[in-house]
Amino acid sequence: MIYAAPIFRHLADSYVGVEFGDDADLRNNFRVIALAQAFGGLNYPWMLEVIPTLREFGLVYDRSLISPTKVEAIIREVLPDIVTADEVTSRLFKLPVWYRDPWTEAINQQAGLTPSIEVVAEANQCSVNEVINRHAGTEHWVSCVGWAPGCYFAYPLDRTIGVTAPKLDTARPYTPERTLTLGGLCTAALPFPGPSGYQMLGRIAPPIYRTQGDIAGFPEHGVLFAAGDRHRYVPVDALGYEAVREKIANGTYEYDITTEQFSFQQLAAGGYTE
Amino acid sequence: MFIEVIKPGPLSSIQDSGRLGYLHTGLAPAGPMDHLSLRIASLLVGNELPPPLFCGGPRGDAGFEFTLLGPTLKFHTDTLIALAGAEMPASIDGVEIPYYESVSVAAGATLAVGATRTGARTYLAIAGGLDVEPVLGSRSENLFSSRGPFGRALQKGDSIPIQNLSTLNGRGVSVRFDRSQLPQLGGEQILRVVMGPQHEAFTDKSIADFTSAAWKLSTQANRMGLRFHGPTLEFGPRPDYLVRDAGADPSNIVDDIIPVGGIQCPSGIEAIVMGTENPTVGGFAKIATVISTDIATAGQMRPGDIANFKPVSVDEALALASAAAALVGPHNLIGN
Repeated sequence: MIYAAPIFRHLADSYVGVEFGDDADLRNNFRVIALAQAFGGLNYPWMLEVIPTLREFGLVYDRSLISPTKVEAIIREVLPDIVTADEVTSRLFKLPVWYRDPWTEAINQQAGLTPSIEVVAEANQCSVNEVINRHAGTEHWVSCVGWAPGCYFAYPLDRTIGVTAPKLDTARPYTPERTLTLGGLCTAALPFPGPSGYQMLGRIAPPIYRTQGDIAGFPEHGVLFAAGDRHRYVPVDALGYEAVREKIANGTYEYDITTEQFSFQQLAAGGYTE
Repeated sequence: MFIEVIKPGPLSSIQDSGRLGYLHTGLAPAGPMDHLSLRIASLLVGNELPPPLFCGGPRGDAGFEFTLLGPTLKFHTDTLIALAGAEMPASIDGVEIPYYESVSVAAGATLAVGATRTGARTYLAIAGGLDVEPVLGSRSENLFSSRGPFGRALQKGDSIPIQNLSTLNGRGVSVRFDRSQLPQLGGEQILRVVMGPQHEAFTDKSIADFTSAAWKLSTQANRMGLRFHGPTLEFGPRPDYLVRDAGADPSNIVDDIIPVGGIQCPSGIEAIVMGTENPTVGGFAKIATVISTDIATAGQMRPGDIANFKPVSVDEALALASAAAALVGPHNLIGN
């Protein structure tokens, strides 16, 4: 539920959290991102970190420069504007994805598991092609970047066609980097190989995280996405995937990014109204 | 002018006060697990002090963090060093050296650091700091994310540039740190916590169990988190929509911030105290948050050690942090 008034939480003596609700309603996330964008543009010497998550805005303060009571008061001052904010800045990334790629198929085969995308099809009582069409048929809202550098959590803007996936009881120990995964309604991709409890749908062709080397569009910290971005996953086949990888290798790949204002109404229209 | 790594030890890394400003990208601050000990070692050799956990400003001169067993290092220049934290037996060319005291080292000498029996982490400061390139404003190695000057722990054969003592005016005088006010390391410890953010999700009995039981540190303890075992904690009733949005396990929540020091309780079967390389967000209820001062205490615990969690207010946590910060200053140095 969305709380009648945001709840302030003091996480020991370094963090102040502002929680807008307890569920996965993207309207909470819109408020969080509006707050993060408002504070992100400020340059208070005591403000060490601004952290947007799905339903909570967090701020890490320097306790030697300011009290948490004062931090809370400063946030409370801007809150009335935030809860009525109608627009946030949002980048739309069009990302080529090889759905049902051979790597995820091989990982499942090796583990003796049903291919993940077939598990998702069964859970949604539709065909594998329909899973792909539905997943690629809506934009996905990046609610948060975190857990590990570059890992993100995105939700379908049109919840009515979004597909859901059962999470694994035990996390798969190895999931390749850039694997597009789904757990519940949430899409995520791992920046580097690691464990994951989400079902694998395919593989994003271009990098989403860099620790060295320059690729146009990457900030210095190497994490491509930010909370408030949107993704449109564009299905490609083996040839399309390889074409992107070749451009990455020779330094000619350019990300398809459009920066625009995105309104609360657009977000709420996707089924996030109850 | 450099240090040569002859044996790296199982997990030795370069750390300053940690990398700030990147939690929104998922990059944890890293930095020492025990800021207090790194600060004391730095003070003893006249280095720029790394600020306490989550304090801003310059990140301080970088030193080394060793885990359970130290390295063997060869010095290729004259310098001044100091050790603090867990007292792994240490010797220079076979002669034992003290902790919490600055010690001169001649070019060509070898420092050998053994295994600790109390405490988990040792800090070595070298006069002038470790002259490695900062990454994103810090020289701290984030080992999980492979970010930092090397992007990894120390390896055999690494060369780490340092300054010659002759370029560091007035640093040749040996001093000691007054240890009378320092906490004991390891064994049974009190970890002070501010309750929340999700303590309301637990039953009253479980809150009472959490604050009264002895919690034993398991072997799963690293810079990301420390897993403590104790009584099974139980959760109160919750709305049905959280099954859909967060997951079927009663400890599941819709993801929120995991702070450094946050105590996550997946399925109520363990209490994970998050370290300085913490996952930055997650979907399990956190019963409490260890205060910044006591992250250092937790960082010195080793498998088998016992924690007792004691609730305090935010104001008490702030007062304790001020007192811990004030401990590390020239007023606590004693000339030899």
